Amino acid sequence: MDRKLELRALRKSFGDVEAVKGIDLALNRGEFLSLLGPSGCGKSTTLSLIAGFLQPDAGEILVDGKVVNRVSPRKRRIGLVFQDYAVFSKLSVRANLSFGLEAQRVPRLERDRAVAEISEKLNLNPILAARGGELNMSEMQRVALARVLVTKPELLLLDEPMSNLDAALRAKLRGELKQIQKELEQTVLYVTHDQVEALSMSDRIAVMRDGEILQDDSTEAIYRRPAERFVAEFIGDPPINMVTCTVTAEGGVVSVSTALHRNLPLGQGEIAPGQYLLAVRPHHFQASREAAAGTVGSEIRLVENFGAEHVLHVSYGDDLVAVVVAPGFAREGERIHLALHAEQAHLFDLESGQVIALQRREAAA
Amino acid sequence: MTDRSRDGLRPSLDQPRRGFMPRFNIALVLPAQLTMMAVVIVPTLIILWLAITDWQPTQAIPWYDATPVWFWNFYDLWYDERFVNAVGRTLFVVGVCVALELGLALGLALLFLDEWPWRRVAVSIIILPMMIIPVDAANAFFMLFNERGPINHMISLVIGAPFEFSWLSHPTWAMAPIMMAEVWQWTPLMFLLVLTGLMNLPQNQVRAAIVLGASPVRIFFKVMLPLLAPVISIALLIRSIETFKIFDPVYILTRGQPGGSTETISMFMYNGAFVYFRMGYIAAAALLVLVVVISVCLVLARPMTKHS
Amino acid sequence: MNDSQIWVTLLKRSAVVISMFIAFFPIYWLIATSFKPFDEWASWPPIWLTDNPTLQNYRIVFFPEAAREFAAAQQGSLDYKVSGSAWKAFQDSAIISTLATFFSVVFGTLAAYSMVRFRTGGDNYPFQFLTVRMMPPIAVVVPIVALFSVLRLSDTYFGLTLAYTAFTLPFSIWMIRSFIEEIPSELEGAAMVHGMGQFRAFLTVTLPLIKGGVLSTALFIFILNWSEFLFALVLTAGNVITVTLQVANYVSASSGKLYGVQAAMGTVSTLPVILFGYIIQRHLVRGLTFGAIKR
Repeated sequence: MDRKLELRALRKSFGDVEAVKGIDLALNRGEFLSLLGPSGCGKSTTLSLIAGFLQPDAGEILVDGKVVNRVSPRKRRIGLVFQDYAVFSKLSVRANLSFGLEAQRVPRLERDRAVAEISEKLNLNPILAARGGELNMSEMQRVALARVLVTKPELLLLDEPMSNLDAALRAKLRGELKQIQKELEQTVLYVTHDQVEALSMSDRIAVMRDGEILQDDSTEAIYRRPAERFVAEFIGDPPINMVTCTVTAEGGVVSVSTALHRNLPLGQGEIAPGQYLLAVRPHHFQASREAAAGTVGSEIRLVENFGAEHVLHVSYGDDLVAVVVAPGFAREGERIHLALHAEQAHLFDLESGQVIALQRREAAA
Repeated sequence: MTDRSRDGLRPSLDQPRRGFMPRFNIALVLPAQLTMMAVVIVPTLIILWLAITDWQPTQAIPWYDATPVWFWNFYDLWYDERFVNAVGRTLFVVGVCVALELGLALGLALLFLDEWPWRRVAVSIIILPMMIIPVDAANAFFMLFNERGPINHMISLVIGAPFEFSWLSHPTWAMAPIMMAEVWQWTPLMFLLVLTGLMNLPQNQVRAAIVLGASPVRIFFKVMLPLLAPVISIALLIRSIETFKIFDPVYILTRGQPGGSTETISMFMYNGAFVYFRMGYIAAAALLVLVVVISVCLVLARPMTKHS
Repeated sequence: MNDSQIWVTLLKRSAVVISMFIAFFPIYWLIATSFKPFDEWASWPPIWLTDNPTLQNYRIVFFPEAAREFAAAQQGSLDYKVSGSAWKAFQDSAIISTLATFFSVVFGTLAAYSMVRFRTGGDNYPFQFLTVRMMPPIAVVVPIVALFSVLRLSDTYFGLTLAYTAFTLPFSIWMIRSFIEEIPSELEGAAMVHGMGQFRAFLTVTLPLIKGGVLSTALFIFILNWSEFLFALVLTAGNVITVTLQVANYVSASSGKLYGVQAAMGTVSTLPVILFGYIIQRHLVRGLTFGAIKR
């Protein structure tokens, strides 16, 4: 594999606070990797370390296999789009776009051609003459992106580039950004706290919390096979349901019992019997009107309408669980019958939050 | 626009008191306005009268009974070399001092961009000159530039020969200590203004320029300086106005001597009015200066409201 | 950091140290000279740090007996202006500066409030006050002298207080205006909904919030008043004397050979304003730019 960026045991503290606690991360050419985590998890610090605004306390940053720890940010050839876009407010959009090329002493003709090309691609032609300070947020975002792309950076870092935009625009831009990235085969490190952005655009996601990377996996795996309770809870909308359960293991077959469901076979594995957490995505409960084998009756406490689907909040022991159903399926106060797709559920250790590895039956269901 | 939305709540609340309010708000500005009338506006009117008289307090007639000479004062001023020189000298001092202050302040401020341990202490010491009484600053420079003062001593040490130059009594060089005192005292203000501007600069624009590979010089001229322009223009405006009034260091260091060679406009007018007692003549000069200064300021003062 | 970066940093820090030296040296010289005995005042080569520190200069400043004794011993003549005690100057400066600061801040606050909340006089009205600061005071000094002589205000506390109040009003109005503008009028609106009058709402809601700003403004204006020289010079004739006048008197007495004494007077006269200056350091920029540049 062609390693574009590699972080090795990277550390950074601010006084007593350890912001980045020795993380390892690798990014391949052409890959779109999201660094996902709640605010204060150290992802922005990591970005500043990669860009070179901060010096790591320990560890190495490699670009194209070369250690760049001591290379000044000016020479790292890394493109960076800031959260506030940092469009040069006193310069025209055109001057913004050609700024990087001028700095690199690209000849005028070539520069003009590159600027024309990128402004065509990002639809900036109507505002080329405007000054940076006069733009609205979405124009700024496009200018910031174009200003970086025009320099053809080896590596593009994006720091929460959507957080200043409203929801509708974000959804539209997610698609556009992904398309541009694919077209240019651009290597991207995308920092965000929004799991929807991470899921919808990334090839790979690294979930970060408290300065550590909890899981670094393909987007699919992050969603389907969370390694940690935190990862499971952070990703997915509506959020995953967590219910306490009792595990019994007989002859290598692991079964769980929850407040409502009894003896659901989960899979094969060596596991000490006792209390665990069962994580079930709202899509993996099956609600039905009629009682059937494996269903348990319960009462709907609340219905949330999301248009295309409804989320039922259903009593489950002392808790409520979220269940996704088609619109108009049921109303508040009605009783329904819940089945649980145990083969899609995950088991987490109560204390450590680590996932319990199980051998699944063939996931036919 | 923002003003309007800010006050959006008020009109409805004012409704019941409408009859009373307009007078009340005028009553609030009255004390300030009356003070100004007494000390600025009435005297300005008196100038209009004095400027066309040849009143001298030594004539023992009250100023309001002085003999009008009509426009001869202005005619004399036009041909008064000392006045014309004072005007030219003042403009020279403003130009040189303010330019030096800005240059030094910009350079200094750039040294304070990054964070380092004793940075705050250093800022506090560097702004010390602007904290002290201007008369005392001049007093200190009076001693520094004495023929037996430390400046001459330092020069002696450097050139290796005794150097006892009498700065303050040399027609050409006497202006130097005055201007140095002025620059020494007010560069810190310019420095504080520029530093405040630099610290409030959008940091990410600078960082963006860095990762785009721009050199520090390019970043300074293409990104930072344009962003600083409003702050710098305010600083230049304020310092030019203040330097134009320069009086204290001139009075303490030379009083315009030797032979009027260090007279600025303020010093010229002081000497004319309170040494030679030519009040009417000086009133005419004052009138000229007021007209010019106020009309220039009315034009230049606009940027002050736009910024903030 | 690589080697060249270390060199750049070293160079930058050295430049800072040199600047600090230049900024501090004249003040050092003032203080150092104030402790020198008479024979070291103007010796060649100059004494950079005296081995025989003395408080004699300070005694001459504050005790007329010491001044007379000194004059007799050195066969010099101290003219009448400097043979008296500088206590009088400190006292007069304190009285006039305090009064003028009080009036300036009170008048300024009322006017600023009226301008911000009622837009009294329109948007250009505040500029009328600003022009006062732009004109050279010497230009209005001549007619003020004429006016004061008619009104018998020359050489009185009231006359000087009046002049100081007027010439610091632009600062107090513009500074306090900028503080009031930072407080949303909705806060006062909320108090008025509860039945409070508008001015009482200002006094009980907004004023406490800008208390620190008003206090800083007051200190700032006190510094200006304490440092003022030109008005003190032309509007007094011996009855009233300020610290700046006293400094100038020492400098001009005996054609500027009273180095130790003038240094002692310079040192003690400037101490209060340095102290105040550092207390309001945060607001200095706002003050000196009439509120145009905030921190």
